[in-house]
Amino acid sequence: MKSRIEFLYLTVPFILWAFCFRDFFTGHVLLMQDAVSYADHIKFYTENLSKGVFPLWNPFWFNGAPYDFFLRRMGDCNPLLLLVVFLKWLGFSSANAYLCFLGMYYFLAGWAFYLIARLLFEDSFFAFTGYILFLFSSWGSEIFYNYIIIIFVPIIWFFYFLLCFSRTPQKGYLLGMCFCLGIILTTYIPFFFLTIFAVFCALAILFYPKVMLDLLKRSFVFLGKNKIFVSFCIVFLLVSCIPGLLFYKGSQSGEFVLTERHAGAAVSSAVAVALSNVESGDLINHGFSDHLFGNHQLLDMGDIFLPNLFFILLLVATMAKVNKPMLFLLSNILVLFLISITSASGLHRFLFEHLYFFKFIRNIYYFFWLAMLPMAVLLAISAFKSLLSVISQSSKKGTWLVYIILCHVLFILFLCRQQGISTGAWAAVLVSMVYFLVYFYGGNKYSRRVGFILLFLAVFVQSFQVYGFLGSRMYKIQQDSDYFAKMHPSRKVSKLATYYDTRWFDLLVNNVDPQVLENYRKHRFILYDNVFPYVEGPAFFNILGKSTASNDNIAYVARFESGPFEWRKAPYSAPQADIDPMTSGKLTLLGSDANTWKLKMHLAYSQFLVINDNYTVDWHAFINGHPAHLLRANVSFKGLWVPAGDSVVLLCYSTPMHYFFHFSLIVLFAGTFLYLLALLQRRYV
Amino acid sequence: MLRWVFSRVVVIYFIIFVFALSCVDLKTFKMRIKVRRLNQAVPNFADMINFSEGKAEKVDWAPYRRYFQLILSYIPSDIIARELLGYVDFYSAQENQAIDLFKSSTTINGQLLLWSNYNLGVLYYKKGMWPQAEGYLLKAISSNSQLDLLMMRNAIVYKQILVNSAFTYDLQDTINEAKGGAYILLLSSLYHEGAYDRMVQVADFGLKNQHLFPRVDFYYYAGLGYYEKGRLHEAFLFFQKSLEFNKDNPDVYFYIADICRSAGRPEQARDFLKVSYLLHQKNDPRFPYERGVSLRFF
Repeated sequence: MKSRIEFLYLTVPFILWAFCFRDFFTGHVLLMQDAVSYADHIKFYTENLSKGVFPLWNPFWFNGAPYDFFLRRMGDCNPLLLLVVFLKWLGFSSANAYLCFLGMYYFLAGWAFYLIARLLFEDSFFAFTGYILFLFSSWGSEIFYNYIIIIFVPIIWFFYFLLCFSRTPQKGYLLGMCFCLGIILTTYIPFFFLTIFAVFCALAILFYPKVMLDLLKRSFVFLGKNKIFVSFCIVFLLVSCIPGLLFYKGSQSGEFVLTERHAGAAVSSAVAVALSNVESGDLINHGFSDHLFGNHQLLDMGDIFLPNLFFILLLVATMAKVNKPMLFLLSNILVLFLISITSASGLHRFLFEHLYFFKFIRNIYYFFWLAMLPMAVLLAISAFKSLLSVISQSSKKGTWLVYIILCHVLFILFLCRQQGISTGAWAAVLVSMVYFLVYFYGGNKYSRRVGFILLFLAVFVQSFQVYGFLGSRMYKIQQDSDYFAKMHPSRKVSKLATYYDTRWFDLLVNNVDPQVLENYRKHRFILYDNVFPYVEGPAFFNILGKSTASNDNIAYVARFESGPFEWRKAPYSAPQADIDPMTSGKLTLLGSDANTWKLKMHLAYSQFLVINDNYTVDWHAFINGHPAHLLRANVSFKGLWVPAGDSVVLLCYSTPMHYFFHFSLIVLFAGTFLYLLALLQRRYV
Repeated sequence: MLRWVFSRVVVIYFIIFVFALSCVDLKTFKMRIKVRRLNQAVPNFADMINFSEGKAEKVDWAPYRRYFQLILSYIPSDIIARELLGYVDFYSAQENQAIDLFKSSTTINGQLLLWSNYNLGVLYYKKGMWPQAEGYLLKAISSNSQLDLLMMRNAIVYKQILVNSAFTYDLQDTINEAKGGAYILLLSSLYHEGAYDRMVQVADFGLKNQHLFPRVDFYYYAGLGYYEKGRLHEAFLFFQKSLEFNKDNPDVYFYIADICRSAGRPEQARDFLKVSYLLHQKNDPRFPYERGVSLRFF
């Protein structure tokens, strides 16, 4: 019975939340900013996975790029990504499947938040209040705007399992922690978690030294009793570290670059950032709190919004008793705030200079969404609980009532001073006042029951209106934008904004006329008769630009990566290269997937084939089953000599061992997840 | 009492207050918030540039006003923002505010500035307040072009304007063009005031300045000055010179016709009058010369 009611506490607000964001879920308003590229990556990944291909290369990303970067961004081992595959199998379109996944993932975050709140406050009423405040905060809009939901869910569940484990050490909780940690470790930025966790632990030792000591002792006892299980957890975590470490190694190899991100960084890894670059991603630059109280009609994606009830609770609880958990939460928030404001405090600079992993955190304002906002909601609920406790113990209830009404009046006066206050905001204050009146006059049981509805109403009336504004505003902005005009083929191509690409393609983009490059990229395969060696330099790029623009019958291969036997000048050759060998019947595409190309060649004489898919050292070529020398041609692409007659050319990315490892990881994580569910199920049965 | 207060949630606000004072560099914090707000408010200057060049008829001035007002709320003494807000205010039907803003930005450290003086001159000229127009236009002419150029190249707002793809002009040229315009309006103001001697002097001075353009106007106004003074021979020569550069100004033919009539050549006078009449019918927007002069910010 109790669990059914709790199920309603969780699902009904969530369904209404989804209704508030109906414009986004129906595709009326499109995903924005980073959310778009993440949707693309996950779509590409799940589509390949459903075909039985593990994509380690993305041929569609600026003429191809290693996919490991994107796999680390999304955390490819997360078994919940398989939900997208499942939904598509059920017949959902890619977009709908992804939006469902996003919604479900946000629900998971809200659920974990509810469980944490219930654990802390030991009361479903306060947990529910916290849950709706969190759910209807602008965290919800973030899922359509950036990707942090992908790292937030494992982080919040980790903390839930940690709190559970700290109370009663059990296998399920430990495995839950390890599983969440494993997912976090397979992403390329586990450092947000690491920082939050480190601050949390340091402050926990400071605030609760005895509890922490006791926890340590109990943990050792637990570890002693479950050696095999703990060993499995350790192995699981160690294996989880491997993709991240491989990626880190790859980021140092120079095979791929992130020019904008890496500009000015002192560390060789391509994903490292410079201190000056971090400032652009800090809380001052991104903490858009201009519409916190008023002008919600102008709310934008990424803006901070919290229902008025949050502020009212903090205001009325001013005279409630402060307790240790409140101060603990506050300390966490303040420390993370100091880090998040970078140049406006010395802490970030200190950490950047002395902690290696801080050199990899750019969007430092994520701390706000990942920890500060959830902790602030918990703090407000803690204060609210304390207030109700003080009132219930007090004999002067009349005085408290006057005080609470006064607080509401003060808040109304404050709102009057703001601009553009919506009707929902006024209604929220009114409903909040009604709640407190019911609390004072309704009796304990009655006020509690009605309290659920009234507090939810106070949050919902405002949020419904605010997210309605947001949906309409975003729709208008997207309609007004000249996005489609920019995509018109007749547009003049400016320099490609690649963000992430291979080192050689980046070189090409920076040295060849954009329009020439754009025209060249339209041809997937080109056959040449002449091959000349080159050494990079301004003069060469000048020649290359002219040669490419006029489609000269000359391919260029890197001087120091090829031998003289591979350079050739045909005595009699056509002036122009064959840019469409498929039509001329010289080339037939037998098959291709993310990681391979299989081509059938039919040539009258030996010719040099350039596949305009980027080259990296991890690509291997085979002609009729025999290894062939794959060259870096025309600066960035793959090229090889194909003999006369019929032959089959096979190009493969990476090694079979690599694919086996990735598939094994998926199986390991899925298996661990099922094991975790079984352990937790046993705990609840 | 204090113990009671410190056992309440209010202590959290106190902690936050002390924390903010002790741990946060509030000066940097405030400054960076200002920069963020300014960055958010930067409008697309394409419309404003196109309007200034007569390529756009309607402009939504609100984002420009908001931006310049924001700059002035942070840096009230910013001369460039005052000049630009004055320009925007004038076209947003806030003429009085525009005049106040221009008047407060006519000099910097005692040095005359071009744009505000020029705009005030244009504004008073359009209102028919000739002495005031003359005063400001004289100041505009006397301003140091290099100082204006330096200020425009160093001001962040102008950098934002200059990087806009709609801006395809040379700053030095636009300054010279504005000065040329100021000369024309000054000559026209002097004409309206009946100060023909000064008119001839100013036109002569303008003609000696090689950097100014369009130079053809000065010949016309010099001719006009001499004509009004009754020195028809000099007037005739200047009008003829004017026709060498531009044969479409109907007024020149009108005055030449009158000179011919005075010289006892009625047939020639009739021919010139006929040409003048025909050109008037065309209603060429280039004439009279002062017709095309408007407020500018580059």
